[in-house]
Amino acid sequence: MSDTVLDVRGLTVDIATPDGTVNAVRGVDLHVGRGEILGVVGESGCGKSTTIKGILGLLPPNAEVGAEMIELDGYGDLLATPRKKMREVRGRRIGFVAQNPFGSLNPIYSIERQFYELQKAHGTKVGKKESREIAHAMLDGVGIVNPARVLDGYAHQLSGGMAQRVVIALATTLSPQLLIADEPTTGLDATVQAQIMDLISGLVRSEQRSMLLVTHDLGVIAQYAQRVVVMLDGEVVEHGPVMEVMVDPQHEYTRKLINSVPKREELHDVTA
Amino acid sequence: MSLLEVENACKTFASRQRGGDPVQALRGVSLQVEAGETLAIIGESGSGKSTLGRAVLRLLELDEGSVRMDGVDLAGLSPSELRAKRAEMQIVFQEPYESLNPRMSIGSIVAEPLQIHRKGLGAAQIRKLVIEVLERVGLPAKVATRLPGELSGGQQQRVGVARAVVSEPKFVVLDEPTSSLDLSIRAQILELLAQLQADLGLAYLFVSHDMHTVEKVSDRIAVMYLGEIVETAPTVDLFRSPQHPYTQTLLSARLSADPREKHAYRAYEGDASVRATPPQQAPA
Amino acid sequence: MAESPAPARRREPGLTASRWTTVRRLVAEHPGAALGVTFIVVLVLWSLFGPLPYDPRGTDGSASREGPSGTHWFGTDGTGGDVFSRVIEAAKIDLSLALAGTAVALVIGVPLGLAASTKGKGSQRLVRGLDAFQAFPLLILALALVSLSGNQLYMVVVAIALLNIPRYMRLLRSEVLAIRESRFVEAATAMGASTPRLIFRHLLPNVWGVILVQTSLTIANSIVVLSSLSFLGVGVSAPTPSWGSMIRDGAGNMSSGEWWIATFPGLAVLLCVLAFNQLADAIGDRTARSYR
Repeated sequence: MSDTVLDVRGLTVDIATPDGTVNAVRGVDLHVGRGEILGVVGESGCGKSTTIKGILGLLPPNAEVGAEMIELDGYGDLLATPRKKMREVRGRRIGFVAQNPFGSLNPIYSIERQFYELQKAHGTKVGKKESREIAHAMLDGVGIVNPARVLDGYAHQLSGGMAQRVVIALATTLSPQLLIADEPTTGLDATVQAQIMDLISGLVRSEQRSMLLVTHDLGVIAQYAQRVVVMLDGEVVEHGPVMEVMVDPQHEYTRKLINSVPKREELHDVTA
Repeated sequence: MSLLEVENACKTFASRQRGGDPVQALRGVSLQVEAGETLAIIGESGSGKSTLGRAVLRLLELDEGSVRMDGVDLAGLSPSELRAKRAEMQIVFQEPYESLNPRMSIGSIVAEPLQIHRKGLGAAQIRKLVIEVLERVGLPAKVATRLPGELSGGQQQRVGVARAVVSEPKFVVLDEPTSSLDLSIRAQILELLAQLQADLGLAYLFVSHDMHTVEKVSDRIAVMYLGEIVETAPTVDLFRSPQHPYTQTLLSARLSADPREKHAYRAYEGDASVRATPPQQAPA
Repeated sequence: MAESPAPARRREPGLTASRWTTVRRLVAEHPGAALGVTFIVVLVLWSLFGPLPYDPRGTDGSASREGPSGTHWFGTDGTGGDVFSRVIEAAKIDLSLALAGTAVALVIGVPLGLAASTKGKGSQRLVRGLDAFQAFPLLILALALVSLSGNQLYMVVVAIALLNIPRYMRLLRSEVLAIRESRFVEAATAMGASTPRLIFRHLLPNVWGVILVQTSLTIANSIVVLSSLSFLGVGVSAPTPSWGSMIRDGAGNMSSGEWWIATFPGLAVLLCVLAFNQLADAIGDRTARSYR
């Protein structure tokens, strides 16, 4: 076991459009260490979502993914893994939490069924009854008070925060060592965001998992990630420990980003 | 007399789901907005803040209570009187693209309030005023011939602002005007709004869910929770010494972009289906 | 739009505004529709101005039921009439009746659909009336109307319109209901726009695309309805040729191997319907795209 769980070097994504090829991601390096949350931050269109979809093999066929290497510890080369095989990687090796929880949950299956389908899809030979027990424990683990009721219900009966908790439980059911979250709290209320992020960072810390956290929210990065990668126009412009990058940014763009978030003291001076 | 006076506003919506309980979006809300000031309404989803923003413009009818603009009760106006009154009270929406008619050029969109409210103006005068207001919101005159879909999100929101101020209103509801914009664009739009307020003496009702934004722009803040205003205070006071436990919770949920300022989230009543620390006080 | 400071104009970057280039690009993107439009235009022009090889209303006892040949391209029918000339001539009456019926349906259906898309009680009543009306077997109603009127052609137009007005109403209602909820209509209300302004500047311009698509489909449908009516001997009557009656006349001859009498008018109906459907697809494609 190495200390790097995910090692991505020189990732490129070229997307073919009717108006020519768009180089959406241009040589991105990412190293996610064990037990670490690596934040990827940037504004819309910077290629951060495309980057992780490229790693997960979730891009449409008109996108071409290239890299020097995409190495997942304990599994091997993701770049050489065929699309079909990637389905096994997702869920078992990498848990994925998308922005919109309702997009990740099947509206016509009960929550219980979705846990069971996950088990079936990965050929775990876990029976219905056992799957329910596991699901019950997983929902309990993400702070849901009455797991039995949620298991019997459907996605539309859940609030946004509850649905995201269910998605997180699903993503961690098969104990993947790496979690990838794409804007997991965007669109949720601030109080719910704080609860969900506390939950996620707790899950990572307690099980020595690792996480790749993609967000546009500098507050989420500053409060929860250990290291951060700042992206602009498909490239990494700055990376390093959060304590360094966010406190003393070197790149002009990072400085601009951080300055556009109001700092508390300054504001009190302005309003006072 | 305040510019805007809302008294005991109540609004209940029928439940969307069959057999569901009706939703009490507003439960006796009262507030005043003075000329030239910014009152922020902060709340989370389901707090009724957007309903309030629409009710004060009479874009929806209240079940109970009154809204007075300049001392005139809006409910007492006939449809044509109300339409004329709308020159004085405007709104900027959260979704910049959806709020612009995709089939109309930017010039026509911004000209429309003038065509409605200043019928005496000729085409050339309208054209001149439109270019003036476009420049005022930081857009080049040449965007007048473009369609909304050809502009960036930030530019679209500038058009939304231009349309709101072209009829020279006294009062503008800003319904999460920056929530769907990128951080750097957000700052620009907030600056623009502050500049317009200084130049034109506008009063704003700034509806938002974001403490960071509200802190930056407002003179006073009203905190909404489940259809009620639980606390109103000048911005500085509210951040220094929040009185209501829900306000304290909202403040504790802010995530500072400075990693040295560690946050400690303190839950309030909260979602009953989720484990959380017990509430410190029953909701008001 | 006259008083607006600048007319809406869509700019395509990297494209010189040459009309010819635009046409070429349209053809390249929608070859089916281009072919269809060409077919319809040629058919209409020929039927209106073109020289026909024989008198389409004429008979020739000496040349009845001859197969397709150099002299009679599509062969001749039972009375010795030239099938080719008759197929072209029939386009005149068939297409003009289909267009007239569609136009009436459009002019009545669109305002009714708009009226049915408000939240008031009148709107609900309209929708209920529409449901009741559509519960009738409308094709049979149309048949009865036309034959009771003594095969008056204007009644054929009324019948086609009756069949299609409900479609326009439902379409308009569902589209406008969605647009009424949109932010830009709320913005227009907030700025004090009057109802006519809301309808003509905000609602209608945003449903033109679907109205055009529906119109193209309605024309196609009307051609089929019209042919069905004349196949049943209702509506257009001899000696004026129509595709439906020609198919009926030739149907009996199919079994004896004289396939051309019914097949060519049938083909004309098929190609016209295909053409208008292709056109509808292309319009739908383009309007969907211009929203982005």
